[in-house]
This record gives sequence, C-alpha cells and structure tokens, in this order.
Amino acid sequence: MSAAAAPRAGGRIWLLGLACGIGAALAPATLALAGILLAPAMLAWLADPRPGKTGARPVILAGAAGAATPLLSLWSQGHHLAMAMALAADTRTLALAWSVQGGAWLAVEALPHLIRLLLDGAAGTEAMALRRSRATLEAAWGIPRRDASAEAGDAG
Amino acid sequence: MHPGDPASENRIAGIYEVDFGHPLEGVAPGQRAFAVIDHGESRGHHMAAEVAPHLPARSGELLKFQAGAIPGVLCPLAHGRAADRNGRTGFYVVMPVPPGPALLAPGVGAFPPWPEADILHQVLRPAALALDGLRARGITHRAIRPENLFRAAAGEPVVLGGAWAAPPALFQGAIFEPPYAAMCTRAGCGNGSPADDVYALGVTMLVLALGHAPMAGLPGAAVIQAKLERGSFAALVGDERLPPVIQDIVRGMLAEDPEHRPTPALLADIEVARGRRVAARPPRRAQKALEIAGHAAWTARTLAFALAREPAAGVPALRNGMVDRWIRRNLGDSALAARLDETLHLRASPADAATQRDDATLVMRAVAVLDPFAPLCWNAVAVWPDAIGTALAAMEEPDPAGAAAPLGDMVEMIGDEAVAVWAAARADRADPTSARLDANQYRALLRQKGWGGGLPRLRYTLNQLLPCRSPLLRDAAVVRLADLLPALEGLAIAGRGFDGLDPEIAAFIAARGDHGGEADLLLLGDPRRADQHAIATLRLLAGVQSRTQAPAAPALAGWLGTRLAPAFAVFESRDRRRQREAALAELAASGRLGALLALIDDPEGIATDRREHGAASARVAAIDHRLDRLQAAASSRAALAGRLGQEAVAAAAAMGLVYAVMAALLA
Repeated sequence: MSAAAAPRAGGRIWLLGLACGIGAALAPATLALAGILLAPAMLAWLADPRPGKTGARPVILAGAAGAATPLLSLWSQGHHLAMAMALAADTRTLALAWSVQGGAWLAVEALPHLIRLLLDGAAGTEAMALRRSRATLEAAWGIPRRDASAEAGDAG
Repeated sequence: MHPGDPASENRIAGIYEVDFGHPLEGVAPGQRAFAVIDHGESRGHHMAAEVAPHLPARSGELLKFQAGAIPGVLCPLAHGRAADRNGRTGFYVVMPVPPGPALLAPGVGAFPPWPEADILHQVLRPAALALDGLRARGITHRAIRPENLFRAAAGEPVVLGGAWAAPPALFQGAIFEPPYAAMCTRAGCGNGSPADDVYALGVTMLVLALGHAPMAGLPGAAVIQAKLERGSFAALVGDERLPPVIQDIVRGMLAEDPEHRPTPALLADIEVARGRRVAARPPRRAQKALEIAGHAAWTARTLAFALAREPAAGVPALRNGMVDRWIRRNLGDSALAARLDETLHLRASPADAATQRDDATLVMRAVAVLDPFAPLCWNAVAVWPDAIGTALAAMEEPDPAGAAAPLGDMVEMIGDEAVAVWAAARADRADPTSARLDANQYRALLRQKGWGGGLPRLRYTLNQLLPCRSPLLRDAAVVRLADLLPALEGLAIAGRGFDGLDPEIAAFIAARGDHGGEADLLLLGDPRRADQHAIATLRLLAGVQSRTQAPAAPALAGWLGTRLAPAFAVFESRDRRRQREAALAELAASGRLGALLALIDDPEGIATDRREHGAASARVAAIDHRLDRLQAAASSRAALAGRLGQEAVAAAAAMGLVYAVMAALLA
C-alpha cells in the first residue's frame, strides 16, 4: 500500500466506526442482527487480500440477500433487541444466511479456476487446429517448421 | 525405299547403297572410293567418294549440280551418310564411275608423249567444253590433272573426274596450279576462277605432250619460285620442245594474269585458240637479287613470295627501306615503289592505325602490292578469303605431310580482320566492302562468348558440310543438323560415355540452327551455372528436334529426364513437383523433347506456383501470428477468468438480494 493510500484506509475505518456507532445508537437491534448474520462476510472482507476486496464483495451481497428476510421481519415486528436476538438465535435463519455467504465465497474462489480451464481449453483447441493447418502447408510447400521454443510455447 | 528398313535408311538419297566390300582404285585420286549399288530406276554404274572428316565436300558446288548434269564431267548425283559394316558412318559423294582408266596412273614417271592431234581433240576440246559448261553454272573444277581425267578407250574424249568430295585443289601438285594457288596453305586455295582450271588443263596438256611431268622431284616452293621468276610457261617447258600448236595454246593457258588466259569457250575452237596471242610482258627482272632469309628475289613477285615465306625477316627489310631502295634502284620500278610506300604508310586510315604497326599486317600489305595475284599472306598463312573455312578445318587436324598447322596465325588473322585490310590494299581486284562485312562477321563469331562462339562456331559456319568434331560423334559423320539427334540417341542407347553436349556439338547446333539458342549456349559455357546446363541442353535439343522433325528420342529424353528432375525445384509446391516428376518419366518414354521442355519450362505454371506459394506463406505467417497471440494471452486469460468468476458470483448474489427483498416485501 502506498503512503497516500494509508490515510484514506484509516479514514474509511473511522467512518465505518462512526457509522457503527450511529447505528448502535439509533438501531441497536438491526445492527446486532446484521452483525450476527453477516459475520462470515465481515470475515471474508477482513481476510480478502485482493485489491478493492473484489472477492469479499460478492460474499457481502450474498450475505445481504440471506439477511434481507430476517431484517425485514425485525423491522415489521417492533425492532426490539430481544426480537433481534430471537431471530439471530433461529438456527434455520442463521444457517441460511451463513451458508449463502459460504457458498458465495466458495464460488468466488472456484469459479475463476473453472472459467480459466474453459478459456485455456478453447485456446488449446484453436492452437492445435492452427498447428495442423501449418503442418499441412509445411508439407505442401516445404515451409520450415516453427522453431522449437515457439513449439514449446504453443504446447504450453 | 521402305521407311524404317535399316538397309533403306543406310542408302544415300534413298537409292544409293555404298558397297563397302567393293573398293575402287584410281577413280577418285587422293580419296577412297567404293562401288555403289543403285536401287533407283536408272540402275546406273556409280561410285561413292569418301569425304575426309576434316576436309569438307564442296557444298556450294554440290548445290549447283542439283540443276542437272554437265556433259563431260563426273557430276555429283547425291551426297550423304552411309555406315560401313563396322558401324562407322562416313560422308560420301555419289558420282558416275569414270568411263575408263585415267590418262595417267598416279606415280607414273615417263611415258610416250601423246600426239598433238590426240591432245587437241581428245583432251583439250572435250575438257574445254566441259569447263565451259561448268563456267555457265558458276562452278570451278580445280582438280584437273592427268590422274583425274578419264576416257573410255584410246581415241575417246576425256571426261573430267570428280572434284566435289574435297576442298578445291586439295590434291593438286604445285605444277598444276598457278603460283597464287600453289603457295596457299593446305585447303586454302578457294574456288578460284575458270581461268585456274584453264591453267591446270594447260599443264595437263604440257605433261601429255612432254611425256613426263616437268620439274618432277622439286619441292612445291621451288616450283612456285621458278614459275614466279621466269613465268609459268618458261619454267615448266624449260628447254624442251613442244609441238607448235600445243606450244601456242599452252603459252596462253599458262599466262600469269588469269584475265589473259583464254576462256574455255575459246579453247573449244582450236583454230581460234591457236590464233590468240597473249600480249603480256615478261616480269621486270632486277639487276641484283634481294636476299630475304636466304631466298633470292629477282622480281617483284618473287620478292612478295619471299616476304610471304619469311615474314619475320621481311619486316626489317620493309621498315629500314631496303625493299624500297631495291625496287627503285635494282628493279627500276619507281611506280611500284611509290605504290608500296603509299599502301604501307599513307593509306592507313584511323580505323586500322592500330594494326598498321603490326608486322603481319605490314607484310600482308606489302605482298598484296608487290604481287597483285597473291593470296592473303598473314605470317605462315596464305589463303584466299573464300577458303578460310576449309583451311581452318584442315588446320585443326594433323597434316599428313607433317607440317605444323599455323592455327594461331589464322586466328590472329581473323581477329584482326585482315581480310578487310588485304582487300583494301588490292581494291582493284577485290571488293573491300563485302570483304569488310565478311571480316566483321568472322571476327564477331570468333569472339562470341560461350559455347555458341569461338573457333568451332566459325569453323562450322564457314563449312556447311563439315561433320561435327565432337569426340562423341567421331564415327557418326554428323553433317546436317538433322543427323545430330539420331546420333545422340544412338549414343544414349549405347551409353558410350555420353554426358551431355560438349563445345563442339553446341557450336555445331549454333552454326546449323537458326540462332535461337544463344542464351542457352552462353549458359552451357558458364561453369558457375552448372545447375542450368540440363535445361539449356534440353531447350537446344528440343529446338533441333522441332526444326529437323527428327524422330522421337526416348533414350536421350530418358537421359535428360534423370538430370532434369532437379529443375523441378523451381516449383515450390511439393505436389506439383511430384506430379511433374511422374509426367517427366511418361514423356521421356515418348521421346518428344518439346513436350519434355514444356513440362519444365512452363512460365505460366511457375507463375501460378509462385502465386500460390505466396498465399501459403501469408497463411503460415497469419497462423504463426495467431499462435504467438494465443501464447502471449495465457496470463491475460487468468486475469479474465478471475474477474469473470467474481463478477458472475456478484451478479448472482445481487439477483438473490433483489429476489429476497422483493419476496420479503411481498410476503
């Protein structure tokens, strides 16, 4: 991280802390329920080494999707801290919210590899077809083969 | 004739079969002759005179005789090739067999002198009539001597023997030729004029009248010297007595100036011939001889002869004024001295200023002025311009007399265009314009580079009936272009060391062809372009086959085919090469060289091949470029996969969020 970026990150943390403080003061029940339901997303945010936390964002979105129904239930049933704790203690609600976030995390980690496999496979198929065409032309016209390093690169 | 029958193919003109088992003696002096079996309608009694490989037959005369026979002469009936029992092919001229024996057998010393009447009526008159017939056709005989005159029996008129199977005057002794012909290099006499035949006839009459050959045993140079010094008649007759009529006629026939000799028509009328008087003055004789390298010169013509024989010794005498002083003081001919001075110094034009300094040119001009009848004398060469070809051909073969052939002098003479300079020095007796044109042509051919030029090309150009001298064709007598391909096919079949064309064959094609293959001849002469030799050979031989409509030559085509496969390397397409190689074998078997050439020398096919090769190369470049891009895109593919994966999950999560919110709100 550059020297200029460090004060910005520090500023964001202060803003986040301020927002949490305001939230705790104004809507402690919502904050508590969201905190419990979105705990995996917050862990992913903290653990994500990618610049811009691009890996954690889909997890947060998935967590938000999983927490949307309990939060709306909280707000519609009085918005009490006890109610929030009851909802958070509901195993089904908690499992749904956390599993959705876990699934999102798994997808974020696995899907790029899967897509890369597909892309490399397509490129390899195209290269093989090109090499076949080249070999035909080499045989028909006596054109020299591609040099060995290039061949190795194609193979890679 | 039955086409395809080997026996028929070996006949000359399709009807004359040379009977090699039946040689004839004394019918063609100096040459071998065989009986001929005539398969034509006339069933005549003929003979075939063999042409020596290095001494060509007289092509111009053979052509002129196609207009018909001339009475009193053994006229050529046909000429062509024939193979003997050993397979050696020679060139022969077919003529009627003489009606009887020669007037004198070769080597006969003395014999009873002939009566005057017999000489006049049985020799002079019929021979003169025959010579007149030849003159009317523009033909000279140049072989009149007792051994070559025949008659059926005593009392019968003579018939002139054959003189067509060798260069003019080749077998004539020095006594039978005027000095200006006798002094020539071997085969260098040229066709001469009817007056030269009259001279030879005069000497023949003299021999018959005397009962022996005069000046017998003297070397040729001594005979010429004596004739120049005393005049031919005086030198030959000496102190002997001749019948008066013979003496009168022969004196005129042996005049030094050919223009002073009686014509054959005049000689046919004996009374008129006898009444004709020659007004020629005897040569002016010096009070004291001029010595040139031991040769005493008493007259201007003997001085010219001495200079021609000893040019090295003559140059100082010419340069230091000794000759000029001798002519003025001892010979008393200041007009000749002035003419000589003018020719040697003043008449040199800027164009020949370079050669004027040359000793050979100096002597040549001096000889031309001193003896207006003399041939072109250039160092050791003495030749008439129309005999340069035959002399050249004779020089390149060993002289049976053992004399060293002055080939170097001949080459120098042609290279310096001496003919033009010589003609200019005797403009009253020669045509300088045509001589210059001829000299230019000879020199151009001599200096032409590659196998299409040089001495062989000049030799074949000047000798239309000279056989090709390639060692490969030594026994094939390839005289015409049409003979070449069958001979080469024979070599290819036999596999007798045939390894393509050599300079002699190439020059032969260049001289006999239509000048279309100069580029190929240049190629053949360039060892740096050996890879092109096979295709150049094919182009030349295909041209020969096409021009001569020669039969198919499968063996030759096969030989060429094995050497032409590399020529397909010009095609980049491997398929095209394979197709053409397969076609090559097929066409080679057909023996048509033109088709073989079309397969290889195919500009349209080559252009198509190059175009397609260009397209293929461009396609390969595009493939390489694409492969390089695929290789370079490996890291970017990883980044793309990461981004796509995250965005896909984010998109799904966002959709889930919207769905969850909507579902909760609606519930």
